[in-house]
Amino acid sequence: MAEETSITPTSMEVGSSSQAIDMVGSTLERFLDTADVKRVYGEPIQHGDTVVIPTAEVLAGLGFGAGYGTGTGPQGTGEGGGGGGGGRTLSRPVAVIIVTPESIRVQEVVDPTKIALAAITAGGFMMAMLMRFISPRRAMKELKTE
Amino acid sequence: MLGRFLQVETRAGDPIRAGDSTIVPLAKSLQIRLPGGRGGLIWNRPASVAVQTAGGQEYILPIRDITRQVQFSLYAGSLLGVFLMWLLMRRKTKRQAEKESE
Repeated sequence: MAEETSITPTSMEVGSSSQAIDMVGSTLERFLDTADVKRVYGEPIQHGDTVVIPTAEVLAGLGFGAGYGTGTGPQGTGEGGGGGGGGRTLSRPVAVIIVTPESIRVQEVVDPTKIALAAITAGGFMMAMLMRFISPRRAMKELKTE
Repeated sequence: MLGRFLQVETRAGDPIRAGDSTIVPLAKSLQIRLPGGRGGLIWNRPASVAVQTAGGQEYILPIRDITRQVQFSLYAGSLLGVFLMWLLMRRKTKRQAEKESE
């Protein structure tokens, strides 16, 4: 019975560790694939005489770690290991290349939500700093130091 | 040494045939690798397209990221604004201190 319990986890560990290595390998491959030009330029879309090629910006981040250790306790010596990781990919349309029989042009994609959020952040930062500059406590402190 | 962890490169994709023209897409990527191969960051963006017309004319069409440019301009403008405000307030405080000392 004891033999069974010791064998089963070992075989599971071997299976799960190789699965984990495979998973990390495939994840890394997919991660490095993000730098490929194909990830930035979409498939050309034909519409009559016009061909449209969408373009996007891709940002991908990945991180993982693993650990292994041994220890001795009242029931004997044991060993174990573990690992984890995470990542995220963000994509945002940048422009569209429009090819017509007459011309080829690049039509930029403007994201008003992102611009509005940036304006609010910048405005908020300026207001917060202005409030800090005009605070009487700060003015008194500066006068005292000078 | 730095090149192992930080890499900036421009890559050309497969030529795309569109009408009578051939378009070669160019992408610029920034790769940051964590020490020990524990992950990293990849920022890939379209840079420009090289166009070759049927008449043999060749030119480059740059791809501008308007949203990113406006975002950076707003952040840079706010930093500059804060710096100017700090300069003005400093001058004002100095003048007040001079008046009081007189």
